[in-house]
Amino acid sequence: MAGSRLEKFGTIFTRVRDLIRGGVMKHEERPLWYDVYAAFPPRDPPLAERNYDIKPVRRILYPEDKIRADFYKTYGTPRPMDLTDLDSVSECQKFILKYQQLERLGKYQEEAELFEAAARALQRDGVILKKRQLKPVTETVDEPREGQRDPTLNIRISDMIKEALQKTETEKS
Amino acid sequence: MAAPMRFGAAAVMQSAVTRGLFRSRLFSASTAATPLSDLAKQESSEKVAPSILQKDESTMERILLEPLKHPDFFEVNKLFTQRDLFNANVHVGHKEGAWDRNMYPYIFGARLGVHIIDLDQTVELLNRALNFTAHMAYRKAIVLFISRHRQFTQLVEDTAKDCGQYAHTRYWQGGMFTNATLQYGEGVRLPELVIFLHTLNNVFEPHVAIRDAAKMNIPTVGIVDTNCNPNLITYPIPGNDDSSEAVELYCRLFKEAILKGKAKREEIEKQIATEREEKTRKEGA
Repeated sequence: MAGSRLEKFGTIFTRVRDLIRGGVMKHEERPLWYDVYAAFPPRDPPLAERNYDIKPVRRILYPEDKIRADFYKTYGTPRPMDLTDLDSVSECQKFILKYQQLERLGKYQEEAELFEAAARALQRDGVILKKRQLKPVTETVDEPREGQRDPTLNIRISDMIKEALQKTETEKS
Repeated sequence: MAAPMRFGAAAVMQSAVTRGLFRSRLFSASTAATPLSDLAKQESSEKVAPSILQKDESTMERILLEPLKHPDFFEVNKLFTQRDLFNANVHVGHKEGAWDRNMYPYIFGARLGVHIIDLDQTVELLNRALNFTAHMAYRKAIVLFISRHRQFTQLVEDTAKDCGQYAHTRYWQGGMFTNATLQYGEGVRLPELVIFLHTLNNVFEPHVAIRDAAKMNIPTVGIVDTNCNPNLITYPIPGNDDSSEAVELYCRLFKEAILKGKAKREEIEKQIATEREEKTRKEGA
């Protein structure tokens, strides 16, 4: 039974087709899938080596992302989200809808005003929004200041060993 | 050979060289060795429908070539919608840094560092793959489901059992395809289609069976995530292979496609048998 194990060369179809063309495999001996592949080939021939002109993958961003960023910065995640429920609408999504409604009405122009107005509208609807408590950023790393170092840190083990050796020498002598 | 058979729920390629080998005129000359679990079934079916052996060229043509003329003979496009794929998180890929560059054509974009798979392409490629699978099942192919993702071992084996096919979700020994005649004996029948629910093995490398199936000229269908290499897979399906909703969806779709193919084949053979009966009755009368 003729075969071709050169998976890096051509596709399974081209190899079998060429075996038949070359007379090594009889047409009646063709594999079960041959006719099906010929009638319904894959969209791209399954070649082992393929070259792509790889351009940067596009970043998926929406205009509402700005509103989302501000919402989460101010309020954080108000409540844990249940991801199993496909129809549930998160607080952030409701906020965005209100924001866009007010934007369309045209009463407010400033982003900050729109933000506050949307928050008020949402609270009127009964959604509780609590502003996030951000920790004040003061010093980054606690570095030891002079005069406040723990005195036990001044002990050095090499000095202790020296003292212990001197003691034994004096005891010996 | 011991490893895959130890957990024996789903039958794996077991070699039993049958006496009285069945050779079909149109198919490959490698003899059909029936797996032990199927021997009983096959023997009974051969007793029930001996007309299979008596079919002539025109009947075989009618059985095998007719379905190839329709673009979607088994109506696999009705098995799912793009919305089903979205709800099952099929579009969610891995983080940008973990991608395989060969997945570039299938990626729609990146959302905050996570690659998103183009579901338009997934729909098209899934239709092609399911169509191919159904046609192979119609032609009584042996289908082997492979997955090395331990979370879905049970699911894949049950799927294979439910559609009367085979599964291999354990350690893949080196020469299972390429050294089959030595490992399983002469006359072993290799699968005619391999379906990968997960293309990668436990150490995130491509499963050896992908390359081996390509070597043995066996077509493959496989779910490729953004960190997989789809090149050697005959009918790749770009999609998420990590979330359970997605994998359950794929298993359901493959099972239904295979069952549809088998059912259609049974239907047509029954039709031919009844036609033949009527003919003999008329001739007798």
